[in-house]
Amino acid sequence: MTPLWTIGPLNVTPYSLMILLGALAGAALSLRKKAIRPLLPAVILGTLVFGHLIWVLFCPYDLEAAEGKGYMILHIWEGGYTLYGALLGGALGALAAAKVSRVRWLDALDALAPGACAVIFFARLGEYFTGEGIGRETEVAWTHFFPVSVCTYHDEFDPLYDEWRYAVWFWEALAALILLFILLKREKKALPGHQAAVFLTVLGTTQILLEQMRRDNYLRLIVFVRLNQLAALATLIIVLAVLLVKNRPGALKVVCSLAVLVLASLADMASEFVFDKYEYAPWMYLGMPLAAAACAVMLFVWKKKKALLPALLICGATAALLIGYASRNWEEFELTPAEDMIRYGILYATMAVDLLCIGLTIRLNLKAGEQPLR
Amino acid sequence: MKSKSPLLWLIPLILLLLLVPFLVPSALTYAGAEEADLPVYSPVELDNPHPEPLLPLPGAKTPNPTPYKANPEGFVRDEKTGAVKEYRDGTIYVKIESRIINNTKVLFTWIQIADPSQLRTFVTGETNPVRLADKIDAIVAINGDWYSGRPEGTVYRNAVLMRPPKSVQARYDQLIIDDEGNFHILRRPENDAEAFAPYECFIMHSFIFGPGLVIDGKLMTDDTETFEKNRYGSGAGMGLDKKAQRQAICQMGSLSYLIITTEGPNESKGGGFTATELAELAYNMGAVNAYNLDGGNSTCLVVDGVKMNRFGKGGVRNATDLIYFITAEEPPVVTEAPTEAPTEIPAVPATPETETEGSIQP
Repeated sequence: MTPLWTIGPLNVTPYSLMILLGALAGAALSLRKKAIRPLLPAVILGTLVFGHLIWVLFCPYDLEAAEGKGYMILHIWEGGYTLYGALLGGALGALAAAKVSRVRWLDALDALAPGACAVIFFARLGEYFTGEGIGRETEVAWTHFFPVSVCTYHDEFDPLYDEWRYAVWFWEALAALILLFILLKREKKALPGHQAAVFLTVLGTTQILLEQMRRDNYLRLIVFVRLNQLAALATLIIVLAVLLVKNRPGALKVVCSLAVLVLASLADMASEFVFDKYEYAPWMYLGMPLAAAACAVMLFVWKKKKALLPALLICGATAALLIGYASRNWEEFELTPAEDMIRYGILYATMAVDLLCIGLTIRLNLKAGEQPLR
Repeated sequence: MKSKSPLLWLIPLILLLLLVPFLVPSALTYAGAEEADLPVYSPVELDNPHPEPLLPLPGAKTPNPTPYKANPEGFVRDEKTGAVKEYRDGTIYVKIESRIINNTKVLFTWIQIADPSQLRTFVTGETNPVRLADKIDAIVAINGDWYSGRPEGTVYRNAVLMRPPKSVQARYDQLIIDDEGNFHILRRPENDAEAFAPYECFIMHSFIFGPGLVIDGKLMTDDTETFEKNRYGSGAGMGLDKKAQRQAICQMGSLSYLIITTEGPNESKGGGFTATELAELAYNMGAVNAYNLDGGNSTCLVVDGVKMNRFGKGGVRNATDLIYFITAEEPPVVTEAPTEAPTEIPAVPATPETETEGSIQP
């Protein structure tokens, strides 16, 4: 990416200007709460430092500087950041500053959540300039328009070579914007700690799904599973664990909650292999409806008879999607572009149902007892 | 709570916000020293230089299995990344080296084979080339010329005529690989059918991308008019003068090949190669004949089922044809160690002395 301005070793690029816009928007949203204002410098510093540190720790070997990771950690201006590293750093910065300012940490996180959404929104839009956040190629002509896809390569001599790819970066930005509106809407009524829990839950579930759609090489750790997906899963586990410990909803509800989280997470990670049509994939098909079934049981345990219909709908939707997929012979040599799109669409929809189940699990535990988390 | 001066947090906040655009330039970095020396080509003597030819070749579109898989013991891998650095068995030698040239990572893949039938092509519907290379057990595979994307040009694959030559001016330089594995590059022949006629009995594969970069040891960029005419309608129309990912297949000697794979500006800051720069690189490497293949996001070098060049902007693009290299000898059978000691020691039969040629290690 060509810098717009260069001052010595420092470069200002379009991406960094988008991050600046995000930081300004995030700061503006956070400044509304007077008690949080003194925390902002520490939050920004923590975001920058840990966002870069985590990226360096996990960056692939061929991107390492000749001088090694230590050099890269110190040379922060050469770039490399990751979302969950930034969130971790921001949270730690808030914790340190909250102790000094004698502000409750959870109150600080609640107040910072909308600002974080704004930063993520602009950062994702900025990925347009870096060429990241791009999905699979689509050859289906009616998908060739923004915001569904973007033209990543245009051949001035032969349009046959034009390449359109799904604009996953835009969808991630949109998810952050929607999350921002959700948080702003429930701001006044939310109990302490709940805003942060909702932020982490919605962000985590959308990240697992949307990061799967990316086709760039950004921080893949286990085959196609990315750092952001694993970090999102870890935060979902932490949020659920805190809720279970806090609320103690009873053994049956604990077991159901954990079953949903574990089954759905494993099923979604295993779906990577279903996408690649591995020969032993058939057993992986079962994971998704199992997760949905666990969610249905959990709904029933919580809501009793009222949950019968939603539970059946969740199970039915997942089963129908998987049966619809598994019953078709998706011979890779015969797929038309439209069929390939349908194939992926079914798998993504099934993943989305599973992730909704995780979100529902956390929501049910959040509402259990209707108590603040602190 | 006693209120503190807002300057305590306001000034650091403003300073940090001003620093943000300088501290977050990009999500991509590449920090590597420029390595100016080019790898040197050393011919290799194979232990089994005259294997049984792997004939007949599979049909161009038939996913016939490769006769022999690679010998797992033959791979030498990088200790840190596990990436293949070398492969050797009696009938094929592969070595992969990388350099940073013009701020771009360039992969040099040397391949020496014992029989021309070890160089093959495969044609398919749009599919992931990495999965495809793994399926056909290719030791080395690269994308071809995406001939299906253009209606013109003569196409042979695995000695099967897929698109016959016509008596018209060819729009692209064309590469012919004959039955001895030798390259012949035709420079936009005025009459395609006439130009192909002398080779008809010997053609195994032909490609329609170009331009020809080096022909019979001569650098083709000297004749810029013909070189640049390849831009019309060919994939080189992505811009011969644009910096992009590029891939060239070169013949270095008899059954000796070099594949040059460059990354592009999205993988290396300010990187990428123009077609002219690629031609000069192939010439400096000592290529006798060198031909430009489909580049950009189509660029794909797969070794032992692993894509060696980085994804670039947008991931792995589906391919419709591959060029690949395989072994011509069966890997050694791995026998399990006996769990019990034999009760009788079998007598070792006397064997006649045989002469064997010595092999020179590179």
